[in-house]
Amino acid sequence: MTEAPLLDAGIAWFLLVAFSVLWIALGVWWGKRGKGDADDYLLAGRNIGLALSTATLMASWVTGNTTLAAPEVGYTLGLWGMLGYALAGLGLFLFAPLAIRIKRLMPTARTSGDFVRLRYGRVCWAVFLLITMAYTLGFLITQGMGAGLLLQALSGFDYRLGMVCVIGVSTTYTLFGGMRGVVGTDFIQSLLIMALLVLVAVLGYSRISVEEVYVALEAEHPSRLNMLLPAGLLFAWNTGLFSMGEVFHNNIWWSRVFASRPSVVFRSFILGGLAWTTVPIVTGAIALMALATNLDVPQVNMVFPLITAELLGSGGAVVVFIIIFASLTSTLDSLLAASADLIAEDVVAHWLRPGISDAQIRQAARLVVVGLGLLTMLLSWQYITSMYQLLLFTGALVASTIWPIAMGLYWPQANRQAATAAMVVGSITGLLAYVLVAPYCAALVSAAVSAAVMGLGSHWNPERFDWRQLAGR
Amino acid sequence: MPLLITCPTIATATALATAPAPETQWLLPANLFRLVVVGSVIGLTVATLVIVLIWLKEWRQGQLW
Amino acid sequence: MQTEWCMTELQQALLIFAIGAVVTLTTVIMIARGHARWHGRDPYDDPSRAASHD
Repeated sequence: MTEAPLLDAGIAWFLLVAFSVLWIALGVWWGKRGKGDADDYLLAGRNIGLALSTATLMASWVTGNTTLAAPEVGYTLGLWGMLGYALAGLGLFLFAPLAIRIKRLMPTARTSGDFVRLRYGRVCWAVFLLITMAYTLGFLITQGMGAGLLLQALSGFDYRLGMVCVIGVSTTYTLFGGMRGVVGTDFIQSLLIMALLVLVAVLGYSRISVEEVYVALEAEHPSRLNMLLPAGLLFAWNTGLFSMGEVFHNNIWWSRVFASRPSVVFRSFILGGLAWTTVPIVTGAIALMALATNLDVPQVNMVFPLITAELLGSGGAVVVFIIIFASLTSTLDSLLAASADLIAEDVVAHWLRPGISDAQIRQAARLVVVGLGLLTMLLSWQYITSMYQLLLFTGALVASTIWPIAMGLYWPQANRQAATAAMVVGSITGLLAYVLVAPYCAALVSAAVSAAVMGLGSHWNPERFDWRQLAGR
Repeated sequence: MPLLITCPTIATATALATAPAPETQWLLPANLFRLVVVGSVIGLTVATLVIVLIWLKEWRQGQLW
Repeated sequence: MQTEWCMTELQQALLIFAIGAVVTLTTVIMIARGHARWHGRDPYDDPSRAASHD
């Protein structure tokens, strides 16, 4: 933490209250617009257009960490940090073709769990649910902890106060607004993030030219321009594969497919990916100005707020607050809504209480949103640094789902035993690589082993899957 | 994406990045560096405008939701 | 000695980079082939099933 907060407490309180009221009011308003059935609450009526669909993908993928960790890796690894982080856009790009297939194959489905259960059976589904729950919980907790830490550093708020505020606001408007509230607020949040990042970059680079930054880096920090930097080379593909695992398996992205109009699904993932890919490079480029100006950065993950406040004064701190608050809430709402869908549809409707009505599913989803919000607060209550170490494990878990999901959508030979084994063996070897080799290898090893198991298993013992089984739910 | 996950990697990376410059280094030329920085800012600006324009078009045609 | 250590580090990094590129490229090819396989077809009308009937 920096010693003195960057933002005056009065301004910080005003911004916090103003944006909290705005998101909740808009969420509630949008939530009242639908028909009120389960499809409307869970999937915003399944007819979202290109603008809202693209913006919600963008907002969900720009997390609080994208606006902080991307500048951090730009600052520490230079160009490879920025470009490697940008490779996380691969997840969105490569999901675009899968999204069309999902939309056409499963017109009435609601979750990624529906696909795994119908395609591979209940054993694989159980393994898949374990993986996705572990990832979701880790993701939620890091966002909650990130919220507390960031508001503390930016505004001097107590860690728990900031954490409870951000999670509380996201939970409230997700509860009342459902997916409509999430998508609507995501649109405004994504535009705020994008426009303000452009503003910071343009104003920053109008004070120090690109050439001046280059000359300073070349003289003082040449490693940041070195395209053969070992740490940068290690970082790059692991990020790409981890992102594929995250996007291919997680219900955040599947729910966007089900919620969007068929004609916009492919374009929204491509456009969202293109838009997102620029963010880590822009924020990394902003961080490089800190190196060029020899700015004192006591804590490296605060480099973006520090350089912005340094270049743009108190106005810069306000901009950073808005960007980070929008990033955190737009990610938390998507996670809460998509995870609530998954639990209500998969765990409650298909496991604990089969045969429950649509209205009961909707009610279950609302209860899960509240429960997950409270659970996130509880688990984030005590800030534990080792949580970040723990979260690295999820890279090994989610990367093991890439091939089972993609092959299962395209090839009838993809068999259920191979899919289950690929997830289990891929996860185990990925975790072993994390412990025995290095954390940056976890997703890579997991994806490679899982691909081999899935490919060979399906080749030796091909299934003849009837695609019509996926038409139901 | 949740890249608080990079923290342990970064600890190693920082040490490597601040190590004495190795003989095998290939610095990106200034013109390409400029292309990366300016190109990303222009890309983000265009992406923002494109989303707003699509929104306007869909809003006028009543096709937002 | 220092140079040798650095080279080893770089070689390791390049190896892992190459493996990562291969795994990613293989995944991209699999998805591209799958996409091409179903392009313009009924989503339930599997091309391999049609071929086996011929």
